[in-house]
Amino acid sequence: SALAQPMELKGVSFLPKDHRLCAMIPVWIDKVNVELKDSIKISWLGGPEVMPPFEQPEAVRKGIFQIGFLPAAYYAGILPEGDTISLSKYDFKKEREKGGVWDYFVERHKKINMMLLGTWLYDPFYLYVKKEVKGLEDLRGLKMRTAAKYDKMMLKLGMVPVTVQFGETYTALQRGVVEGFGWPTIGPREWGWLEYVKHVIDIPFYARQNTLILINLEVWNKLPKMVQDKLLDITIKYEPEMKAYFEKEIDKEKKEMDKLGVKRIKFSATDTKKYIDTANDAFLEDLEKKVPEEVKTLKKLMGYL
Amino acid sequence: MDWLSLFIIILSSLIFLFFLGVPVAYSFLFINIFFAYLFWGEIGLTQLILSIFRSISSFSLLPVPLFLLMGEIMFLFGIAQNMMETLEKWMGRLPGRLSLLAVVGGVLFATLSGSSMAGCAMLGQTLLPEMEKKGYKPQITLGPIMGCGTLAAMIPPSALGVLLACLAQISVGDFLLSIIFPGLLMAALFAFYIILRCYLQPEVAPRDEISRVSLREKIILSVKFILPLGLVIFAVIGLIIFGVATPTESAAVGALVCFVLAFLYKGFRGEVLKKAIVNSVKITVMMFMILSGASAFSQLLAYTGASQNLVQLAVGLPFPPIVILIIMQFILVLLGTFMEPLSILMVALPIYMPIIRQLGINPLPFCSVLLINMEMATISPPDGLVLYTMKAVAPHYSMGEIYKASLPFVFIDIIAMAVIMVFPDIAMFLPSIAKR
Amino acid sequence: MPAAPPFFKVKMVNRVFNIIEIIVRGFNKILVFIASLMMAGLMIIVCVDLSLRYFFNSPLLWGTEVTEILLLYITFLGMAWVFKEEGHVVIDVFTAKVMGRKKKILNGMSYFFVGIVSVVLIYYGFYTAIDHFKRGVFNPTVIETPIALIIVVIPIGSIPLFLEVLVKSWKLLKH
Ligand code: NA
Ligand code: NA
Repeated sequence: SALAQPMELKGVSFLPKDHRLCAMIPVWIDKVNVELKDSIKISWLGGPEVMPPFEQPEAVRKGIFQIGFLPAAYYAGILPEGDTISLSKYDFKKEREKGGVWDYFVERHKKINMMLLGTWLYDPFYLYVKKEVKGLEDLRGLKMRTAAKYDKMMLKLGMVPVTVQFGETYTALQRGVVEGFGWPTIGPREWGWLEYVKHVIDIPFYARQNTLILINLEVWNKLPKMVQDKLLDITIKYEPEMKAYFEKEIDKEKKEMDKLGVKRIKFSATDTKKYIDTANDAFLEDLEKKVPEEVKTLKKLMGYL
Repeated sequence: MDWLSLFIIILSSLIFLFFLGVPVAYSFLFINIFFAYLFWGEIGLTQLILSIFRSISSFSLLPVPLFLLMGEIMFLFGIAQNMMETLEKWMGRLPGRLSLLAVVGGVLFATLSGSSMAGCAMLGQTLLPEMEKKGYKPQITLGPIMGCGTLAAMIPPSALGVLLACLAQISVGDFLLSIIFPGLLMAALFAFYIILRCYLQPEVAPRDEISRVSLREKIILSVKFILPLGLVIFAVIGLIIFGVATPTESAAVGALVCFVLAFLYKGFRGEVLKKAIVNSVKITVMMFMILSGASAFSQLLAYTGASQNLVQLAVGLPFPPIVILIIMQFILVLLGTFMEPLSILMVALPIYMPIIRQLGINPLPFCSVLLINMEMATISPPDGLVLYTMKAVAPHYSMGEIYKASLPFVFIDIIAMAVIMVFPDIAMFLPSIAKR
Repeated sequence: MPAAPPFFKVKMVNRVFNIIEIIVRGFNKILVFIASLMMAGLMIIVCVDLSLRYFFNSPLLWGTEVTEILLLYITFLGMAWVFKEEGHVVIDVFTAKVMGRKKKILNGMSYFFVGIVSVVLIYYGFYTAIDHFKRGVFNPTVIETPIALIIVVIPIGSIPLFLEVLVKSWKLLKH
């Protein structure tokens, strides 16, 4: 019989296609489209212009899009524990061990009709501040540009989270409406934010990115076992390559920051530990209120207990 | 079905509904409903509900109702009239005085407001009744009001400018600086056109006998009626400069200052206040309904792949960069006739910016031209938010008359775009000075 | 028993529509009043938020999200009233010159399309709201507002819109 047409999978991402953080998405897509060219063809339709980012998870869940490149924070509303993946202390390999935390997240995602395939971004978060801080005490009362990701942690650190639109952040920093912000490494320099913010607290938190490759579960179940295995195989091989790419990019970016005179601040060992713990606790305490029964499992699987 | 036929079908059915006289917002919504159901069945419709929610429920839209409220208060309490009348006294005996006043008022208002719709609403409400009383013809009233209304987005604070810079991933600060001269260039071209037209065709703007006003009186009037505006401008810009408020917050403070001024001037007048609020609700609803429909429509086009293919088709042509640039802008001019700026930007920038970088073109002048293009989209027939604002402000004119009046200003915008393409330094000047 | 004479039926229908009209006008008045309060609320919330941050270093955490929600509420609470007032934008290049019977047909078609939109917004609006309510989906933001609470205003505002369409169509038929 004639060759069957490959199944077309339409993809969507929460960032625009040409965003620097999306650099490794096409790499994954190309690998899949080449190695599985007889069975599937992924076409990445675009980002926020195709679907409002916060509605993308719902669209993947329902199958309007078959593939999503989304942060778990964006569907915390339907899967609160999903975003906890940011707290994982393990590397990709250890996570994927049988019965490990990856299997757990795959199972949880199935509950919201999505198959969790892998991760497409590596870029840990940092807090950037205008004034030179020496330790946790200095953070109290600092007004910070926030997002849902940092609210709870900032509150716990005694900081003052202020909602500033992405587009207004530059002006807000320039004029002093806020005295800092949270972000990974790639981005702030290009947007001019570092013109006014010359210190970064050199303690990465939520170091494991929550940006995941998700497939609509029904679509996944329709794929032949061979294709499923191959997809997983491609993704598992892709993840370290992806991470290496971003590590290089982050290094380059840090050098650029040095050129701009951005200082990297270290805290004392106690403060560093407290800082990280606060970030993680803020997350888990909130989760405790929503899905207490999952928190224990999670802590165990991610090496917290 | 291939994307091109799909695109033609979707677009022509939308235009069919427009021309049938179905309200624009509902035409968009109906097309969205029809095709969402066709593509995805019932889940498409639930997704549409969510998409409507996300498109309206956005912090970046907050200045729109607030600036409308400001305009309503300034207008209904008679403050803007006094201010405009005083400005008029300084204008002397120039041909088309009131239309030129739109330019001056438009520039002044642009330093207050980042929304072209609010700019048009404000100018329309303050100037149009006076222009009509003095016997001005629509081509010299509606056009300048719409054209100068769009200056609001060309001179900081500019909501659209900020959004554009973010989507293009260029420095917001640099971009806001770079659009000031292009904005002033537009204002100058508008003024030139108005003077020329009124000189060649004196009947469109009858010269009224204005009693000569002494300098002393002018100054007294200005202290009385221009200073309040200065106070509002200062409240808005000052708050940003001194780091008290974000640009969006300053919109709310501006509205509050307007309230306070209105009460100080005219006393607390409950009925007028109520009317101001209700009117701004009305225009807000009208705009946001269209916005919600238009956003979902853009998403539909993006989903079918039509938008991407269209743009790629144009830029994949084997021409020198300048020709590609012109084609790129031209595509947006076409899209701009029937789409709103934010949707166009969302579709085009992710595809355009990599090409711009690839061609090694400086993004600042390119984006300045793009912003003028987007402002032009709001006044280019048949579809544009400023056109609709004009209609909402002046319902006694037909859309046909409004279209006709807007055309010269569309052409002036094209001239401004061409001038900046030829002399990109117009856009580069301020950012390069600030860097030193 | 003979069927009721036609004029009797017409009278009944007229009465029904009169009542609908009275109800929907009253309903609209209330909705517009709420929308106006929300409009004032937008300004007040942002100003209060700003002063609390500037003077006391403790901004309202919920300020932004509530104003965002208010934008949606204002739009949909005012939608039917704006339709009644014919405040929605219409491109009348071709229809402005049409008169009489043809005009009526055009208007009727226009009401038909608006009617369909309102029915879809009511049905799928409630459907989506209930679905989100049952699943307990919340907005992944600071105050985690339930999505159902936000989007429910879409169908609520569409009910008077649908009734307005009915009233207008009936008037079109009557005259
Ligand atoms: Na402006
Ligand atoms: Na247009």
